Amino acid sequence: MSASITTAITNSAGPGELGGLARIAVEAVRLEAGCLPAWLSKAGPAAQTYRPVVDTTSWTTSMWRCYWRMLGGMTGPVRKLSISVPPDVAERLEQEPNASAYVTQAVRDRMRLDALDAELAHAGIQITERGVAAARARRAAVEAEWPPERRQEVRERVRQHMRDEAAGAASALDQPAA
Amino acid sequence: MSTEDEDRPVRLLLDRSALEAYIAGSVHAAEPLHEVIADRNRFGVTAVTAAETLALVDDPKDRATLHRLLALDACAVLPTDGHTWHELSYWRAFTGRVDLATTIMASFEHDAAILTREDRYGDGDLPVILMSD
Repeated sequence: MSASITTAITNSAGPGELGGLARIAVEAVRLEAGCLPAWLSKAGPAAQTYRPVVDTTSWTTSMWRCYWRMLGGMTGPVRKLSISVPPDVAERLEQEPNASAYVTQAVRDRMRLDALDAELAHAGIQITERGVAAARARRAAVEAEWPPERRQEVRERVRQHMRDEAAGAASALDQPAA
Repeated sequence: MSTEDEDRPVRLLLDRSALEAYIAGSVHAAEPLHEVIADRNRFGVTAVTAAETLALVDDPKDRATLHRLLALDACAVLPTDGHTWHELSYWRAFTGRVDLATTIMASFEHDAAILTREDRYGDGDLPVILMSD
């Protein structure tokens, strides 16, 4: 068996352990044939290829389903990690059907903002919280003024205008030359 | 770009004037970008706008700044569909510029506002955020 993709997140320590922090273990290995419940044979090639290295003997059917849903959302190359988070974060992650995807998206959101801020620093542009809040308010005002229905009305008016123009051009061709 | 990234909606479009303002170091271009990304959205630039702006920027440092901005994960460089050419031609006539027309089309496509310093979008005719000078 060879280490492969990040697949499972489980609490390996109970409340109060690790100084109040919940430890999250993330590991996976390539599956050996015939190691899974029979119903998983319907879950597709990915489900039949990988299983977590954590002890799954006590996993319920819903835990397995959650695991394979998560696997389905993490199809790219990944690395295994062991991280510690405060209890409130652990509780939040436990509510997620796909905690790995949730954490990945949150980190990527932060990475995007950090990347822009690095660019702004490189360009010597100093933004302020007040300015950002004002920008947010301006965009919200425009979005309130322009709901999708209004945009659609404008588009339809333009499309009709262009249809009329095309129809006029076609009918002009039908007119006999003077 | 990952699938998750592609799921983040484009909520702000930069036209050529907004890109030029960013290159010039305008905080009025930078703060809307920060805001839109902080709110877990992306900003967009049409491919035509990117090409048009790059054509007008000579300074190597400014060109590098533009390249870096467009390469950000939060930036979506957007196509203009061929089947929309009738609408595109209308907005080209309305604004007098095809790059602005592509930005308008993208704003409809993504329900996004346009960040600009241009006065070619009419008066309340389009979802525009006019930048301060």
